[in-house]
Amino acid sequence: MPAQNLQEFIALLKANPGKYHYGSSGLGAIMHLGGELFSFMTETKVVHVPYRGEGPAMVDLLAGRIQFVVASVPALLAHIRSGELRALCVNADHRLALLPDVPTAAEAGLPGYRTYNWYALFAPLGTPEPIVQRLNNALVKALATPEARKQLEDIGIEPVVSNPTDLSLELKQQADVWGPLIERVGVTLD
Amino acid sequence: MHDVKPVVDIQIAQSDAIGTPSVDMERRDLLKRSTAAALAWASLGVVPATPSLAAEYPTRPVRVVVPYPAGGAADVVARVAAKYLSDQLGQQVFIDNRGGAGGTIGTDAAARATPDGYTLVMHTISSAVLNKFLYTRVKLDVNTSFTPIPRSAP
Repeated sequence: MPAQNLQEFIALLKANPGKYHYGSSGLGAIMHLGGELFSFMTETKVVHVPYRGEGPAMVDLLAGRIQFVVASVPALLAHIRSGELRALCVNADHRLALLPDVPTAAEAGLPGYRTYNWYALFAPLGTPEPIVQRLNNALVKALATPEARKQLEDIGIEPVVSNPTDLSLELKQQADVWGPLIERVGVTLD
Repeated sequence: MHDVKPVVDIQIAQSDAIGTPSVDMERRDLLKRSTAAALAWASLGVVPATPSLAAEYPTRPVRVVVPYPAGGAADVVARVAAKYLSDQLGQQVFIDNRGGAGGTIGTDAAARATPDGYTLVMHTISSAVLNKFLYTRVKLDVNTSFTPIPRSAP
């Protein structure tokens, strides 16, 4: 891959419409929709190749049968560190402690491109508020322990301290981004 | 039992209102207020969430539904979180993998669970946000079916 950074990569795609393929873990996955959002925002034409899971997509990427992915840090980290893959940007608002040299999408010239995944705990609606607060406090404390931080960071996960209000807002903001995109792309899974 | 208390309050208030009209007004107001509070609990159908209940919680193991198969990224993260959450809660926190249909099966199962703090669910952005746009037959809206705890990891 001749492109050294995101801008060179976008220029390469524009010069070769329909020639570059990206893999995903399946139709409708964040890896797929992240590629669609990238294509939409950069006005480039790329070809989506759905796989059955992230693993097979990574195998074909490393073998050169597809040219790029929009994938999770855990799946990519070892290959980036070994030099097999080049990270062009982190699709979040801040650089990752795990990959301090990789610019954010905004720094690399694509502001507003955010495709991060997260894992969050939820309780069924109606769960008593004091119990939700107790769980929140316990989880915040649990994730603050150096052992938990290290174990998560080793697999490419960055613990974030949050609260129910912020998480509700995050759900709404993400729905506002992905809902219209899914409609535009026309993906349905049932 | 904490959930018995409001029922007792209702009985006292009712017999008081009917049988002893000369009761001290201040006391009656107090009883009326406790009746109203008890009825509010009853009509919402929730266990009264007194601070002591939260202080005692959890008294038995807590289940975390992971709507994806064992061994995947969500499962790995959930197991790490469960281990350290267990240390903080002083109770076992165990993982229940309910994979299938892109996370919708486990999401649905968790939403139907008794909302008592003993069933939680670990969502990803796919199960929490994307699925409601991807699966037209899915009626479940995570925004209105679940209470977010915190974002545990991006």
